[in-house]
Amino acid sequence: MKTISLESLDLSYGDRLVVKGLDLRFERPEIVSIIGANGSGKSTILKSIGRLLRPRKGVVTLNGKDIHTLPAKTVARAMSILPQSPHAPDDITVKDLVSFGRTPYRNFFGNNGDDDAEIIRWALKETNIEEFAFRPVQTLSGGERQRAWIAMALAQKTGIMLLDEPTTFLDIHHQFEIMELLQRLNEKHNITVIMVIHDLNHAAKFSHRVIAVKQGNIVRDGTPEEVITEATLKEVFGIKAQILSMNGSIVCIPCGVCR
Amino acid sequence: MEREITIDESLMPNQQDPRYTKRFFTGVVGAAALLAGIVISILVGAVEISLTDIAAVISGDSSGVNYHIIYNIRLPRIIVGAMAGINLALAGAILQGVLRNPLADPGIIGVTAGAGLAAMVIMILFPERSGLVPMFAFIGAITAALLVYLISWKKGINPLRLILAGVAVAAFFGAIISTLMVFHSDKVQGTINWMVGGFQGRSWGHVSTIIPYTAAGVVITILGSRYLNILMLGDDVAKGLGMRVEMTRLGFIALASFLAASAVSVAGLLGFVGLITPHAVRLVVGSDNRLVLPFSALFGAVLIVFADTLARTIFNPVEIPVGVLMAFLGAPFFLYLLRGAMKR
Repeated sequence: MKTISLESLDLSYGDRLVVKGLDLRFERPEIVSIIGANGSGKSTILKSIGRLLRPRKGVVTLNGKDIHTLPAKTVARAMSILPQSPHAPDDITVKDLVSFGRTPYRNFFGNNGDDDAEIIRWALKETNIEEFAFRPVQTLSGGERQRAWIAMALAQKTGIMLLDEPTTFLDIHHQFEIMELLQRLNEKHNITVIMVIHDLNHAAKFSHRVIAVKQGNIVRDGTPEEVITEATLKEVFGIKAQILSMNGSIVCIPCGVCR
Repeated sequence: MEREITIDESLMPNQQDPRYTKRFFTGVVGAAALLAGIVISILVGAVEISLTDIAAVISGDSSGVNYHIIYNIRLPRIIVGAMAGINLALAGAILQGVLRNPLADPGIIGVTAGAGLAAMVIMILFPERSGLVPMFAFIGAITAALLVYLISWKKGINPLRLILAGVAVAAFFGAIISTLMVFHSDKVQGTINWMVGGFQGRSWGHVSTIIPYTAAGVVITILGSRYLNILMLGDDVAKGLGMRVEMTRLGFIALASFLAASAVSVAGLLGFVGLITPHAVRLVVGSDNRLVLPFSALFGAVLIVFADTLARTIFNPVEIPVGVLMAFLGAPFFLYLLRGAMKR
């Protein structure tokens, strides 16, 4: 996979400095969860990786090259990003939505002779929404709609996917569906998934690597077992929690706010 | 190696799409309506003309008075009207897409107010130079649009900020227009026709003024509608897809400004077409801009050709301003479409 490297990054929204002197590297096809309290800067970090936010200082590089000097299309062929609850026009069909994923491969006149149609079909199949191809996105359930957006990102044929809270607003069944889909994409196609996520148990169960963020700083970065500990949760979220080990993965039982 | 050129099916409105038939049918109806509108508009008027007269003129008979009426009076007027309709409807459709706001129209980026002010200044303060009105209206429109864009720029364009800046600039220019009207109330009468828009006495000169913009607008629209669709997904998604959002948005706003400015400069301040046509089209064919833009252009032309024909014949020999008539007929029709859409 391509290597992403964040080097002494300062990130700000307007005049407010959110992240200062951040260093991070992603060089393996793994599932990475970024966890942290509201306003801790985790979405900001994701946006800076995805080229949506220009750093005030420092660089984000893709294979050693600054993503803000690389052509936008080149970056969009290497990584895809889905913001939190993206919005599409009411009547757009699933297939039309997914076909937007081919944008970085198209020139001004549209066609580049590549097998776009084939890739779009593949993305629909991988996310298991072929049957909805001609349904308006708006008529789908929340989980199906999220899979349609993921199919769009998949159609970008990138090695890296950045997702901002992909399971928020979904019920537990659909949350698992999304997480298992991401796991499958990672295992089958070696796609790196970097996501911001709130559910600690999903983070523990599905990720290879967890990054805990507090006030723009990385508190811990490692395997779920290393990061999701009573001490870290206390520091990052200010909660008391019990960590159990079950079937080879850990389970976190939050007990309450630290006083 | 030579690459085989194929049409990418994912770029085409899809035949398997359940709305395909409706869209196809709408296109046929629109094209037929435009053709019928043009023919009817040539036939009716102060002097009635028959189909045989048209046939004679087409076959090259340039001797009679009918030739003069068809070729020098009715035809240029129809063409100017149709092109103004295309430009205004396209400008409206583009702006509604770029600004992601259903109430956007050429007025919202200052075009109408800028053109109005420039034209009023000429008509009221320099009435002997009234031949310059189209040119100054155009310059005023573009200047105002540029002003609105610059005011709302702050490390990029936020659509809402652009709309609010547009409203403020329009209000300010409107105040100057009102002031002019108050202090020169004796000259206001002569400006009314221009302020409500119309096509009386439009000639081939006006056709050549507007035709480059219409031609460029239509071509860019066909090639660019795909980008407008991507912009509709929001800035973040569009950037993630590798689109240069600010550049694209600026391109579309500039295109819409030139389309609207050229239309206003030949037709006066015609409202309604730019706001309502794209909505009516969307209610029928959906929100895909690959369809909304061409259909808006088509039906913008249809709307003006029919409305203008009615405007000059309904109270013959008195002409009523086409802008007024359009709102009278168009608004109820639009409400009818809207009611239908709400039932679904």
